[in-house]
Amino acid sequence: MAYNVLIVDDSPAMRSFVRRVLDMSGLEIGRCLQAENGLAAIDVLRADWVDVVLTDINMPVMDGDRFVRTIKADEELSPIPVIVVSTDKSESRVQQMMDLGAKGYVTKPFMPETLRDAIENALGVNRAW
Amino acid sequence: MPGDELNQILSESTAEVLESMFFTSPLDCSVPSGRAMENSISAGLFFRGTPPGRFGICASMDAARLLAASFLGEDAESVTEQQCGEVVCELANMLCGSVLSRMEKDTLFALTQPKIGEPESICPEHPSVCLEFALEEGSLLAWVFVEEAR
Repeated sequence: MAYNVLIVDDSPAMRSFVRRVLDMSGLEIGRCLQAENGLAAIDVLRADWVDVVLTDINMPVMDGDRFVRTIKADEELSPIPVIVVSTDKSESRVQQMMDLGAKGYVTKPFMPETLRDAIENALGVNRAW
Repeated sequence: MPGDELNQILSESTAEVLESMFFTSPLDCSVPSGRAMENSISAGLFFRGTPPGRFGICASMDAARLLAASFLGEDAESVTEQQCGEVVCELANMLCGSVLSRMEKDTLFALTQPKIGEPESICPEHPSVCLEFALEEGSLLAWVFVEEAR
């Protein structure tokens, strides 16, 4: 099964990097959609179904905090698992985002396998290799 | 925080970020001579929290191309100046986050967007710590200015 992924980050370079890591992860990736902030991501999610969202926190227009709150308050979008990918490693921030409903939290810098493990965990995938 | 400790934090953070996200390692780390780096890209940002301050990096164009190529998975010859700038900004963001999380493990910090060529990208005359890292190509300078430390 191929998974559709939405990458939300204001940095085009980071979006490209995450895309590359997904390609290297061994996961079968279907469509890989991108958005530069939470508001743009909501528009993408209204138009296309994705299996998992990877989002930064520190973004202009709508940050990751408001983005996760908005998704989790929306009946249609709330089932989509969200994984936060952020430079912020503080326990308070991790707890805050998990309390909001994030399904995983990956801190930058990260190893490719760390992101893969977080996605597998969020999707409930059992690796067969 | 003592300068030696901050030096070590910046050194360890830089090595960690370069190794895990850029697939390269610093060859050497030293206190810069004070001579301005020519043909380079500088990016900086403000951080708010306890303590507040500024963080910045300056990469020689050789280093910026190497880092952008590694990060984006492209050839160094094919990366554009814009891509170099975007990657240098992302590196500044990640390095700052890594340094702050080592300085204050449980403090919430707010980081501004890294910017190139703005006042926050210029290294202050007396930063709290400033280190230069020799890379496979060119060099990378990173500095931290912690308001509380002054």
